[in-house]
Amino acid sequence: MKFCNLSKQQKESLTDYALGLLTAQEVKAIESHIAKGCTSCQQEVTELQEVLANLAYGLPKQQPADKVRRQLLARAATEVRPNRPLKFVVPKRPWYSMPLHLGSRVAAALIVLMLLAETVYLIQFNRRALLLDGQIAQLKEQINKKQDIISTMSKSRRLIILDGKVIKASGQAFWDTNHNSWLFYIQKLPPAPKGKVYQLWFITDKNEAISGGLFQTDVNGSVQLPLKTPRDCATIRETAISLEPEGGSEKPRGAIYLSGPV
Amino acid sequence: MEAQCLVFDQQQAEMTGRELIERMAQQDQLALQEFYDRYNKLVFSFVLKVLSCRNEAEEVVLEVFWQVWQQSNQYNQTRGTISAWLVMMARSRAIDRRRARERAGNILYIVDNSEFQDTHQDSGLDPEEQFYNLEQREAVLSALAEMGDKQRKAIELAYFSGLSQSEIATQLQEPLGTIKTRIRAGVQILRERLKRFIEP
Repeated sequence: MKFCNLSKQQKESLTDYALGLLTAQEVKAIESHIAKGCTSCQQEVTELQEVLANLAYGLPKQQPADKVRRQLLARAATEVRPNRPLKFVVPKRPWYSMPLHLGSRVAAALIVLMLLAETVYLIQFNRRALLLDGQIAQLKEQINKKQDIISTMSKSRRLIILDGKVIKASGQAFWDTNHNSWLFYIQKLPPAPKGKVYQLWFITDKNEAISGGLFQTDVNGSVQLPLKTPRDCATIRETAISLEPEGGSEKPRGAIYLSGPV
Repeated sequence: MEAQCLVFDQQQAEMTGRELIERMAQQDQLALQEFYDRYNKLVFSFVLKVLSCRNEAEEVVLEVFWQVWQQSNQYNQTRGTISAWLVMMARSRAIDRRRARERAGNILYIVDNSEFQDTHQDSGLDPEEQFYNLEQREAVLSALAEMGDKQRKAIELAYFSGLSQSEIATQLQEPLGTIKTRIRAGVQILRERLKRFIEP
């Protein structure tokens, strides 16, 4: 209880309480108040009881008969206490009321500062860890893509290099001849202008151009294109990429940006 | 400087008393013996004042020290000094007995003080403690002397006779409010004058 909520009149009655002058109901009210943790009233009552107990020192000293001492010691020697006490308990002062030396205060302040610094460090560390988690996830994704490429490369029998014809773009195509699957990996091919689209072509040995599909590149000019060889495609002589109107063309009509012999 | 020495002496005496209680909690009968020798006169003098009967007072003293022996492990030093603890225990038992006697209609025994030896020499205490007790006695008597007769009488009737404020008012033929004020003011005088003997 931080604040004592007794009225002034009730406070004054603590003296009467110490003297045993209150009614049972009044005693109950005060003891209930103290039991709730009012340390100031507890201290006040203890002090008043101490003061009043001092009255005993003002009395003429009288000594009881020796038989009292004999009876007491004889009783203690013969009667066993019903409940053997476990241990004498020395009540401890609450930790927050312990007096602190200067050294202890400084040490306590240092510990608090260290704890604060550690808390700040942990918060920053946690943020950094979250950031790194995101980067790790991105790297894992990239690794998975690379692994796909490596997997395809390891299975493929053919590697086709595509060279830029108009601009300085480049590309590689990995052809898994066993499964007729392709993976085109294009770099530095700028995004197609509005209303245009890139189209990939398979050129046969009969000089026919068969569309492999339409695509766009990302802002970096890169794209990965996993494809299957068109069904009606006979022997492939060359692959090429042209810029065509949106929706694509039946035959390459726009400029060939990349091409490579198979 | 003198007051500091007295406080030190009191603390030393208190420490010895606490050590004895601690030993009693471990059922050390020699500690009970030493404790009794140290405090029996204080308790007996007080109980005798309440009961005015030597035989009854001796019975109460036996009960009080037996209670101390049995409950030594329950002593809580945060609730006051050992002497205050003993006096409160003795007061409670003595007043109960006094009231029981009055309910039974027995006539109060009158104590003839001349039959007792009033000695300030306590065999259980060392000379420094005896000196300290004398100082304390002088301080109490001085504080009581500072009060008027009516105020002192009101406090004595409350503390030693266990009378209620209404009973005191009737006995002293004073209004209840006056009695209340006198008692509280008297206790404040005691508190002020005995400050140095009370543990912080």
